[in-house]
Amino acid sequence: MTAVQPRATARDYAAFDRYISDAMPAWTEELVRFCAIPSEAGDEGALRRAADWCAARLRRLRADVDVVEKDGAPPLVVGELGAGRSLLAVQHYDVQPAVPLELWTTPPYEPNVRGGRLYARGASDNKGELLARIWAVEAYLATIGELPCRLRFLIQGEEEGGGANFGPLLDLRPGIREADGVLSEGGEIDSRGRPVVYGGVRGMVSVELVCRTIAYDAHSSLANLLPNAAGRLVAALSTFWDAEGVPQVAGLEAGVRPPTSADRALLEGSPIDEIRDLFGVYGTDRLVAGREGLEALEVLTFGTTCNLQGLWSGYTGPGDKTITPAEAHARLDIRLVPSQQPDAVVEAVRGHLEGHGYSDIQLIVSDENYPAWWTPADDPIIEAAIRASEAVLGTTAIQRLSAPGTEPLYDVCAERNLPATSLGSSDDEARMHAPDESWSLAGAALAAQMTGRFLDEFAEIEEKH
Amino acid sequence: MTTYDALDRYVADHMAAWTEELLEYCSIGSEASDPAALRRAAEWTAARLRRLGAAVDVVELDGVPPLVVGDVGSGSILNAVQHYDVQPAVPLELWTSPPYEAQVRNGRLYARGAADNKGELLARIWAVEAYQAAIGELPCRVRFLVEGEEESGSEHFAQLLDQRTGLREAAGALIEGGGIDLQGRPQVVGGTRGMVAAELVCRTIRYDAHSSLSNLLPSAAIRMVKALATFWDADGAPVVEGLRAGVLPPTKAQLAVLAAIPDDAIDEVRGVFGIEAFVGGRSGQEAIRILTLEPTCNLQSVWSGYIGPGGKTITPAEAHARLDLRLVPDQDPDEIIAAVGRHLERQGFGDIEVRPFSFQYRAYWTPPDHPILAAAIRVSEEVLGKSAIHDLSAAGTAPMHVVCASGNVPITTLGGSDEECRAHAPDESFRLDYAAAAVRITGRFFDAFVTVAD
Repeated sequence: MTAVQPRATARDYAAFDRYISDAMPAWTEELVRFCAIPSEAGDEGALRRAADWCAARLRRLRADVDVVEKDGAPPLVVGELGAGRSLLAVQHYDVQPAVPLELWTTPPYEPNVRGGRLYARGASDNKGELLARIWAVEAYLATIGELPCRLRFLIQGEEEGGGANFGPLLDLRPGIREADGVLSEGGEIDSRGRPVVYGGVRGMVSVELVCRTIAYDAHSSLANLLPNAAGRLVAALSTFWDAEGVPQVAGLEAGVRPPTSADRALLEGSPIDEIRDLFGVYGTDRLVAGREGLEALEVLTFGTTCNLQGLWSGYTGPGDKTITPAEAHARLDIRLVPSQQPDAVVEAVRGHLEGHGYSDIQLIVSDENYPAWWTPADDPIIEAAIRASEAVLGTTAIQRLSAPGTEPLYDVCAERNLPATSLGSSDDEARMHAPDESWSLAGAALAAQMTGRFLDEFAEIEEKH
Repeated sequence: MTTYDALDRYVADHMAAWTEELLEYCSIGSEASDPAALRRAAEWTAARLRRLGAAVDVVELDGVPPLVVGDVGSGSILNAVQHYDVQPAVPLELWTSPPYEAQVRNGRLYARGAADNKGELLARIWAVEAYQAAIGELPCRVRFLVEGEEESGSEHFAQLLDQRTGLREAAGALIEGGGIDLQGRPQVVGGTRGMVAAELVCRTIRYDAHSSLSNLLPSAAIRMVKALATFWDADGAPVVEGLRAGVLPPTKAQLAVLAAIPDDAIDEVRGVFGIEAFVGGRSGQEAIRILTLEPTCNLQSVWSGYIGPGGKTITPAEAHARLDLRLVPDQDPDEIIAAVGRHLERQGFGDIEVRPFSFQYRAYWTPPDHPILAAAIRVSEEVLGKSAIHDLSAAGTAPMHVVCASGNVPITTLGGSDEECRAHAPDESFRLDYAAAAVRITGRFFDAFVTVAD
């Protein structure tokens, strides 16, 4: 059966697009103000200000706003408007820590526009991408009319910290997960200007390893006799990866659902220049284990990761301190694929330590672990996102099964098996989570344009069934 | 033979006032990073030496904490090699009371520097004061050489000494302090170790990456871990080739000294650190030998990525580690640092940069049968009433080579630091009755020194 011609290609978006380009200077100022709020985990005041800011901005959009509170958690800001098929926009107002501050060209919370980009922590992840969604609604209402679907913003304040309270906050509002589809927090444009559309996100397990050997730090003159916690943790960690940095933890892949033939076909049809770009962007002439091309793409998509995000022991300040450390710490983040369960992966790490004779090393498991969530590659919501982004960018989109990154989509989607897609304009230069995070302002306008068209595409989906 | 009743009484009568003095001295946070506090500590030291009647000379060099020289008495010269700077006090949260708000609890004075070296330095000064007050003129000439860079490597000590002629000329020298073991036995050593330290820096990618790419981007943290893991065997014993370059084989006299050390002198250290076994399960004589005769390779710190509260999902672009290597005679610091670089290269980690710290020391050991050691042992035993433990060298480092090597000056320890003093660690402390013992020992040593110096 031939699909109904989607409205998006029929509708004239000239007025809509003009509204966006006219509003961009004012919107840029708005993003500058939003990004000036240092809403890092741990800064309750800033998180509260960012939540209030979001609620006020949604009210200006005439959304029904509901600020869901739970003790000890930054609030969940819910904003709802429109009628028809229901779309959830899963966003967040918190940001990654900005440290190390000295590596920023301009201070992370004094947003600065240069070379057509806005530099600030949160510029793209996720304050920019969130505002692009809001701007799209504003432009749609102003130039086209009522929204063609019902849009519910779910803006949490713990995404970068793992979102332990996201599920419980959602649980406080029965029916909040009722929807026909989900738009994840942002989206990507690759270095060649092609939209990248993801149907899923990875899961995540975070653990801290703590090694203690002696009652307290010792004068290092005793180093030949006293067991060194730093040395012991280093020896334990060295068993986690081979010489190339490939994880060697037995059971790390526990629960991995093998890729379907459709998954594999999609992967094999994907361009691999993004992989090639990594060499230049990160200034390395070799990827882990010499991987390249399709093999690299495959491991990026289907491989569980085991990343050493932080390691510390002893005196790390200026100068030196001649001690044998009593205590050493390391943090691992492990990104999961379907259908891995966080608990099984934690057990694999524990088993690895025990199996290698390091059962004395304590494992502190984060309470913010969650599974992956991938939408089947042929779901119409992905097709809708592809069409909307191709219409704006004029180039063929790249479809991927999953973002390499993590978002707590599982909490939102799993209960009702909701399909999810991405849409947005973060590029390779965005440096999310790193110093000098930025967002292209031209890309911001494109993201707003895509989102407006996507609302129409999404509204159409049911009619095609 | 001199009786020391009057001296001992003077010490007992003055301990309360002296404790106040040590509290005041320890309230100065004279860490390497605080030039103003170093200056205050130098001035405090100079003023204290002047009150002793010493001729004080503050030797200055641009941008360097001054060397405070205090000269008192006449006769054979005994150099007391001391320092007024302290180790950094961090991590502050592990201190029971703040490191620079010195506090007395259960007969111990808790503060950074309480033992190392403000307490031990004052015990020497108090000994001079007590000798002069209770006995009379000093039988020898005591020259205090109090520097302000000891904990950061004594980088300018030699240069400061060179500013004045004759500062190194002496018949003997005292190392900065001395030990008392858990059973109250004095520990006397005639040497100090050398040391060299370096920071290793590993870089893999241009900047920290989002950790979703970790299956593809080389992690500096992992690379550093893999490199460091090659430095020690499973027990934690160093396996760096060339680490022993230049080690002199022990003499018969040296081996005899080690053989006379009772096993428990080392084995009881396990209890202090709450462990059941030393590295490699060593104990007794074997532990004593490896502690004394072997160089060390200590991983003093390692850091990479995000180490604050919470977490940060990055693949680190850079990783750091610091090693300190303690040396024995006649090892050359430069040669040992070169061995670390060669080890990295051989293991396939030639990309990891080795940045040696600007300071380095050579070891300096006096032959164990030198009479200055017999003198130190005799007076220590006399005061503490227990047989001394005589060892060849402190496990630690002091810049004795800089002061004594040119004149081949014999050296010894004398002092009151016990195993619980936690030098360099949080809750550093000095046991006050041992402080008094250190003063009494030192007072007696002035007389004993004259007999061996002549």
